[in-house]
Amino acid sequence: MPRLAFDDANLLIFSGEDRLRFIDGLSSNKIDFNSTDVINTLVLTTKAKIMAQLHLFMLNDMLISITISGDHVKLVNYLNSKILTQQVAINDVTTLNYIDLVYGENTDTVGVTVSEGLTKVNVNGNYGFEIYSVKQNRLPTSTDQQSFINWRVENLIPWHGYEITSKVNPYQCGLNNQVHENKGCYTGQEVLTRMRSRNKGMKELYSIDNVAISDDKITTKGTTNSLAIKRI
Amino acid sequence: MDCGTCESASPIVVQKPEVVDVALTITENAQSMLEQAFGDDRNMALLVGVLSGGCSGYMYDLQIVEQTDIDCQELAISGFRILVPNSSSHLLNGIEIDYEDRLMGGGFKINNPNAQSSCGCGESFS
Repeated sequence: MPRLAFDDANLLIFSGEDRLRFIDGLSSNKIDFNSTDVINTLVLTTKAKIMAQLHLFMLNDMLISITISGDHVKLVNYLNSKILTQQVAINDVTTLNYIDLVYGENTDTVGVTVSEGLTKVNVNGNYGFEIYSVKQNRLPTSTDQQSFINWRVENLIPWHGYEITSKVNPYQCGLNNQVHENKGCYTGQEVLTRMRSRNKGMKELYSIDNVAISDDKITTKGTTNSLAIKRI
Repeated sequence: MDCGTCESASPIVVQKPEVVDVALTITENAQSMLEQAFGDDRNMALLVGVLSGGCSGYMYDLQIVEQTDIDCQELAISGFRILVPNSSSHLLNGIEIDYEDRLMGGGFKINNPNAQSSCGCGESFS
């Protein structure tokens, strides 16, 4: 599978007995783990704008998050301010690890596997991450950014800095599947529930031929096709 | 993956909020409900805490406890023991604990002058 160095992500470890409840209360998807699950969830502002995307998995007793956000320091400060009396500690181990992005047809089971120092996090069968210690040699990149972009356009995958920004909510950038409709309260929930029940403001991602759309409407420009967002 | 637990990765430094001496009030309605809840046993205390989560970022957490491991300040108000965790004191100073007797959405309510916004159900604030 094509491999890209992915230096836009941070790696956080949440420990302490309240770690799952803590993240569940602050993010949009239901945090209910089977042992090898990967749960994709979003930390939102009270106005439901996206602050960060977390790809969560368990390793032994640790809850680990591959965290992608526009402002990591702001995110960590936000999370820290919410701990209060809960038994939660957050460690940032980003500098100890390389994170690579792998994408394309993936026959591995969705979830987490660990072998020979390589932690494979298969997010959804489309793409995933491989994490390994910086004490090892960095694995060679086998593709380039434009190839990855073309693959995203072809498979309608929204991405950070393109479709996913702090100016949109999950229903405006194709991340509907990371919002659990029946879980309890979480930050941003009221706004999303209102949008859903009134069917107002919902948008969808679509792929379109480059010649059929003006550049200012494009969120990701591929070689022949591009991604854009339209109202439903 | 290197979790750093064998080496030097230390927890992120948490900026502890300033501990504030909390003043709070309890309305007559809330006092009469507390009378019913406590009965004659005044060894029990009302723990007024805050958890992360809820629609607005923080959620109130009311518990009746005898004691707690949480670092708290203890207040005596109208004969009731009230415990407020020091870590939440900056969020709870000045609150009024009320009780609303309604068929829907009734129960204990916190009126919080520190809250910039609250969610519809009143259990969450930011």
